Amino acid sequence: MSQKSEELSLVSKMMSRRFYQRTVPLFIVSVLTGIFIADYFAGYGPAFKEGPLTPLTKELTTWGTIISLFILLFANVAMLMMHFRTLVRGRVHRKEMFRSVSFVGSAAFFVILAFASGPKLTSGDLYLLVWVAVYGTMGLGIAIGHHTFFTWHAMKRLRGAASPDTIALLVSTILSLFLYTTAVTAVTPHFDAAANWIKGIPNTASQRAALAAAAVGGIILGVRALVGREPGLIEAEVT
Amino acid sequence: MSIAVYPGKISALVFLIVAMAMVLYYLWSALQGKPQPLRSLPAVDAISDGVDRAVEEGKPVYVGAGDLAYLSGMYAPMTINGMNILRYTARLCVQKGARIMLPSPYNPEAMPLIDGIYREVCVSEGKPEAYGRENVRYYGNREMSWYVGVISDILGTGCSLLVLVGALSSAGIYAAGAALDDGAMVIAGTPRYAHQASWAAMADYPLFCEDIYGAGALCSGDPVVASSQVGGDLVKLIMIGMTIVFAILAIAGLPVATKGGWLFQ
Repeated sequence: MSQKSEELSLVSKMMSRRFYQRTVPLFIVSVLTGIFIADYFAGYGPAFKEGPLTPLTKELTTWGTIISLFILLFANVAMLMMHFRTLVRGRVHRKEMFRSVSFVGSAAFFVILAFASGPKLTSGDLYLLVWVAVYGTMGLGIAIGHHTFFTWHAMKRLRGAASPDTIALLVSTILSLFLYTTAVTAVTPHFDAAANWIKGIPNTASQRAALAAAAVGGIILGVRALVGREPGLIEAEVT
Repeated sequence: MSIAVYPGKISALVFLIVAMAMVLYYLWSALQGKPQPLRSLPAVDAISDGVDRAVEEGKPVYVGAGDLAYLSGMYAPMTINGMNILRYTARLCVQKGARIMLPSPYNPEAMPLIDGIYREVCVSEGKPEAYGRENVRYYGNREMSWYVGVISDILGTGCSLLVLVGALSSAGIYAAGAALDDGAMVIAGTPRYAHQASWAAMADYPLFCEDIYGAGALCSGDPVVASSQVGGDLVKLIMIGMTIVFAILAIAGLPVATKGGWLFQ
């Protein structure tokens, strides 16, 4: 009896959401991660560019791309269906329908698809022309706007700079700005030297320290994820 | 042909093994009932205050893991960690009755995860009606469309609290600018080195570099997760010690950091 109940519990464990939504994917990811890490470190010797696992990792990368493309296709279809449903079921007020996100987004999708449906797809002349004209113009306008916007906000925020950290940051920012302002460096070359020193010495040191610390953080999170102790992913749905 | 570790990668492999061993040890000791405490971070404490403020003002809370919240590549750890903070903030919002808006990254691969966390939080808090699919926002697959969309939403709905912690590009600072204009509190940070100064200027509670991992561990509320961070601290102490020792040895003329030196074996 007890053996039967144990078997049942094993079966129920195997059939549980946690098993197939968490344990199995984690196992697959762990094995794949192990293969890629081993390929990064292990080789036949200095004379060989490829290691014994390189053909396998290349194949796995190809399959990763194939799978992710199908996921992308599925996601696009799901998103279009959501917007169609929003429009068809009247979730958007009739007067606002033609300027709703669902209508404009779906329409833009099909317009871009039409331009990209020539024999050369997104490499076709017409598509590139439209893309450059639309995206380039928008990009230029937004780029000018956002730099002004950010500079204005940053200046407003720096009015309250009082702590040693923010004052140091402010001084180094101003010196760095001078470094890229030709008129200033031409008139006062000593700014150039000071800014270059900040960029080359303390900035490089702090950059390396920050990168190393962030890398350690990445290792911690990676280990946690691989042993299934990372709660950042969906929890309740798999219990 | 014999298989060996590539020249120049031996020290990196040793460091990786040591770091992983330390993290695993602290994970294991926490699972054995010896968790390590973490000190509180002002940015994490401020999330709760910000949500209270949002309830009082009747404006929404915007929370995201960043416009670059990918689940692949170098941004994946930042994204997964950002999800801990997103979950924590969403839970507080659902508990206290604040409206939540969730800007998805412009590569939408993390969007189902964001949506799932939001839905799951609503269900687990006993308020499934708090879930609204329209609150998970997607603005297209370009950086500029992301921040134009977020700014448009913030201007449309108002914003009382903006929490952006994870993989952020410069797009986040424009969203923060719009939120600040609306009188919002901004809690933000990313491990991406080039964007530290931006958040020093734009966030009321900035989280610098690895701070976000500490904040994520605190927000998870899991002592095992917090303990693993302590393992990382030990690794960093070793790195600091090694830097000092190797600097002294290099000054003494030993082949430490030269081409083919000890560190590049």
